[in-house]
Amino acid sequence: MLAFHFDTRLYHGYAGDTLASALLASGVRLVARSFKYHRPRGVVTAGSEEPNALVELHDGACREPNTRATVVELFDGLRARSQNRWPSLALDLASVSSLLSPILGAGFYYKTFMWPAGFWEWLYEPAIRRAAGLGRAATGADPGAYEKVNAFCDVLVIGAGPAGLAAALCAGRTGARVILCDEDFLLGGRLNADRREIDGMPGTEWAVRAESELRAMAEVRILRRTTVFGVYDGNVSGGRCFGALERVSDGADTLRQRIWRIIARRAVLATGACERPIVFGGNDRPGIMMASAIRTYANRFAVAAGRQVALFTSTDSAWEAAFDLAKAGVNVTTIVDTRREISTELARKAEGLDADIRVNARVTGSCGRNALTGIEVQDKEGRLTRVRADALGVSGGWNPNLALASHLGAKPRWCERIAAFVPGDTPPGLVVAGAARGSFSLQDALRQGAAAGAEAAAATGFRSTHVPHWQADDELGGISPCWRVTQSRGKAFVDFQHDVTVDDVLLSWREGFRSPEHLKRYTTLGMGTDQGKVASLTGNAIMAELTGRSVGDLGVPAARPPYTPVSIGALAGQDRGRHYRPTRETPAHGWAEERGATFVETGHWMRARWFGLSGELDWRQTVAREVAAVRTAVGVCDVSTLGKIDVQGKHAAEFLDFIYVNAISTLRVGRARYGLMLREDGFVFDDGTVARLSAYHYLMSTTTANASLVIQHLERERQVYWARCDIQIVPVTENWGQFAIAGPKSRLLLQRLLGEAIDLSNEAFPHLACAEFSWGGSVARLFRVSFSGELGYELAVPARYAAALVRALMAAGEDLGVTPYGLEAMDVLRVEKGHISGNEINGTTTSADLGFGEWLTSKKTAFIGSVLAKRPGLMEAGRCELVGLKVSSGHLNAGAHLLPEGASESLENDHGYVTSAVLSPTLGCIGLALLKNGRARTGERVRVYDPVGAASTLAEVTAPAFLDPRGLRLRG
Amino acid sequence: MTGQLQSSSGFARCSLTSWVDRDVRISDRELSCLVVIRARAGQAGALESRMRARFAADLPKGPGCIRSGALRFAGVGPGEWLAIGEGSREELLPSLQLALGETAAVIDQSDGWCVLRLGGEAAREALMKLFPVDLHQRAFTLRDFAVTLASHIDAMIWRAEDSIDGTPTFDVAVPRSYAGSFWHALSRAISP
Repeated sequence: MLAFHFDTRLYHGYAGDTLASALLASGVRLVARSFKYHRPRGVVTAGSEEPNALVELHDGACREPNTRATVVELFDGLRARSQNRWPSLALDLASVSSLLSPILGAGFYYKTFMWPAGFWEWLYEPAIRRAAGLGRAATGADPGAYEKVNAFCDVLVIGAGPAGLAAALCAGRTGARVILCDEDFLLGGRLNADRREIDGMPGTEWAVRAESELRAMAEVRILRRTTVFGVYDGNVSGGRCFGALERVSDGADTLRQRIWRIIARRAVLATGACERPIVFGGNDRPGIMMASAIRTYANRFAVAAGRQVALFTSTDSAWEAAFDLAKAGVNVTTIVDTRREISTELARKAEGLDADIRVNARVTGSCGRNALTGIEVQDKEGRLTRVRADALGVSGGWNPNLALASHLGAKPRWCERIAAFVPGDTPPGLVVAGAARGSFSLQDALRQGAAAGAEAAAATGFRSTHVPHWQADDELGGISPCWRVTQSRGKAFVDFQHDVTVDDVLLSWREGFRSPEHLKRYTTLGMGTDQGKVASLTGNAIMAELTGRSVGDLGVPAARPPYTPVSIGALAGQDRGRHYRPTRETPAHGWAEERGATFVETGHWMRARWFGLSGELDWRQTVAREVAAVRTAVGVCDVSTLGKIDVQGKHAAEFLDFIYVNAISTLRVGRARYGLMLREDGFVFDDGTVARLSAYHYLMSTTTANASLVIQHLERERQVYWARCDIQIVPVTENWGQFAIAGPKSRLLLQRLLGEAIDLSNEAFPHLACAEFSWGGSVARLFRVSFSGELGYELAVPARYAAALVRALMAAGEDLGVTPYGLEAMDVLRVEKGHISGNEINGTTTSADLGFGEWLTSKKTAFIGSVLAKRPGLMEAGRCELVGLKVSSGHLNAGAHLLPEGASESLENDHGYVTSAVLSPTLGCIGLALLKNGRARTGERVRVYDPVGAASTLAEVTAPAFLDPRGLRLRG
Repeated sequence: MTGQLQSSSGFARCSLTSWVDRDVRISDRELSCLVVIRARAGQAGALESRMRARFAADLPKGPGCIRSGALRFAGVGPGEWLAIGEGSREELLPSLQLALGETAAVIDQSDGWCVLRLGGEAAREALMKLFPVDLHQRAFTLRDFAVTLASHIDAMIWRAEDSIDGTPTFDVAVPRSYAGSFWHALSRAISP
């Protein structure tokens, strides 16, 4: 026995039960309150199409709202709670809204809560949402785990009923790779629900044998509790992509669910069919369910849905259910059939049945408070009688489960024989078998399944020599559809989950919303979590009747993925929290951690922001120390994240001339140069240095942020416009660990470290020199470049040696005061020097705005952006130009606006904005800004107005370079 | 400084060495060499014949790889191959440069990628959680090579020689900076 809780009570059930079957066995019939009217509701189906019996499973952070009790496999300790009721399920105060139901029809909210319009967002909508609704989402972080898996197969079989098992057996026997998925925890589909025979053995036995044969096949994978929820575009690796959700375990803090991305070369859709109701007044009372569900609960779970079971049908299948129920010992008291007459065959079969049989009759009402106690039957003469019943099984026919067949846009086709839609032209590679294509007999399901499985395998190169024939017993399948009972009493529900009634469909018709898609959106018919599996066709059939059209002409709303709800956690899979996106670390990351670095995320990269020492009060103090070290001694900064691109070939120089605003071809071997590149539209794109390592070999550097964009940019040029030229572009960022060594003592430090490997004298290795040489058992590259404005170098070694290199730098420079510095210090240093970075290259600035206007006009050859950079708007006077700002009192924020001194804060007076602001330990509060006609305004005072910080201060306009504008320090 | 710089693996900060799982064996192929070969304009034919002469290898025309002694050549793009070897790149790089001369640009990427070798019963199953590539014995042979994404990370995968017990062995390469993230994803894939 398994113990479980539903709301506050303890119940018991058996292994193999679903939550729904265990509740029914325990006599629980009221399991939920409806979405809109809070009406009492019970279990309606025995499958994944269940609209009513939605519960919250688990507690706290693990809570899963809207879980269908009909698919939850019972386990010991299960805790479930009813939803959308207060204070309790049996006494739900909000059910008074039922009294208002005559005015709460479709569209009511939108028509009523229109004035004042502003109230909608903060009052009406929240109030309506609180009153209507389903379960509550968990608020804590989910302690369970989820994962995603890729799978490939030759044949995917969706559904493990008789057709699916036959298909999997036939495909599997050929040696093809087969994946068989079923939503249920037990394979067999309706073989477990009906008393049938195949080859003289019980259907359940046949299913068990089929499963054990499949389990023994090496290339067959069986996925139980797995719903294929969508078919997706794309002919991936010669197959089609399917999404499937596996409910791995019921434990709350273990691996809960797994998403399968299945690429299948062929697929067999054997998803069966759902029984549909007949709509009549009071048809939602707990105890009224599908005839097939009553049959399933009796045969598979040994649960009687009631002591006095009545059936209301327009099909033979409900009679077959009655025969099964009688065999199982369930007391069937009454059968009401809407058809004028039943076949002689059926009548003969029904002879042994001890039930009150009423043909050409209908159920017109039901009674009972929170559960069914009786029904009202109208016979062919119009006489009304009351019949006692505590369960009513309804059958209006069967709808093939064809959602997956229409996910890629294939239109379903109306089939008059079964009065339902069947798959039309299915996507290539997808074959439908059995009940899913409207073939409801067991014999057809087995035959079609076997053929589909064998053909699908053959299409992938696995031929079978023999397709087996399985012989099934007979069952009657006549139907003459009845969608609704017109003269009935009380609310007649079409869509249980969204509380859509026949009156709502009528209203929709009156208001002109008559196409299936309009009906759906106006009434919300079929928009619940069950996506209208039970309701949609019936609603459209009623609309067809109202409009005088056939259902086939009217159609049904398009089915879209997912077939059943998929939790967001499963879609996220392993990639949660910190691992939502991957992280990049430089090869010296561990060293920076050891030095106590505080990191900042820049894109995927983790970069050291500063290296705090104990005793320092705040980061400003740390940064000031790091800046001072660079200006007076020597600092080391990890610049491995900057993009590095290897460009080779006979046309490389010409190509780079085309990429950059300034000329690169004039660069000598062993020299580097600053370069600026534009986008096609003439605005500045990126900057960096280019080094010429040999005649046909260049190394570009880019900013960290644009490293991959520049590669795309270059590759597009090379592949599209320079396709015949000799250019090879390879990104090599990952291969190198690179460090900036800056400060007056940087040469001394490097001389100590590199020794004889390279001559670093100013004559041999001047500013903007570069070299590649052997050192420390490795290749090394040295560039004399400076972002800080100090004498500076960048030293690169293959990444595996980077950590060793930075440790060696620290050891060699200990007595020189060598100091690691981070991004913040680097920012202070470059602002002091007036160097631009991403703040200034912000997509709105031209090369002239940033002070490189001469390059644009002096260069003779064309380059990317050269034409559009000369557009009038980009050339005219009055643009914002790069300037420095110095504040004597108060402080500066990036983003603050610049106004003429004394001017009021209005748009007309806006003369630009601050792009970068830093606190320099020696120069105080300084910044870079883009100011209208800025270069001509040096010495002027402007007002810095920051509406966010609500601060206003005065600043002096200066040239961008605050420090050493002539560059004496970096050439020293 | 005198002496040699000490090398460290991209996976040095992952608890790779302490990894023990009865179904998955993992080893760090720290000494793998990866060298990009890009044909110079108009030199594809000459490159192919030099490859044939020096390495007795027909470069693959599409995605896939071939072996020549301890070396493996993989097609990773139009006119672009990757030479993968073991041991000293100080030998591999000059030998390729010498053999190919003016026919190709030869660029060392040995430190740009980190390579792990995975073997054992459950290796394939774990990799299928990360790689959108069919790694089935019949679909992914010793001649296959995939450049793809694994758990949002650029990745390459190929098969090494099967282990003695007959189970397949895979080599996977990821950019060095992503080694930590990849290792996290892989270890979660092995034991969720």
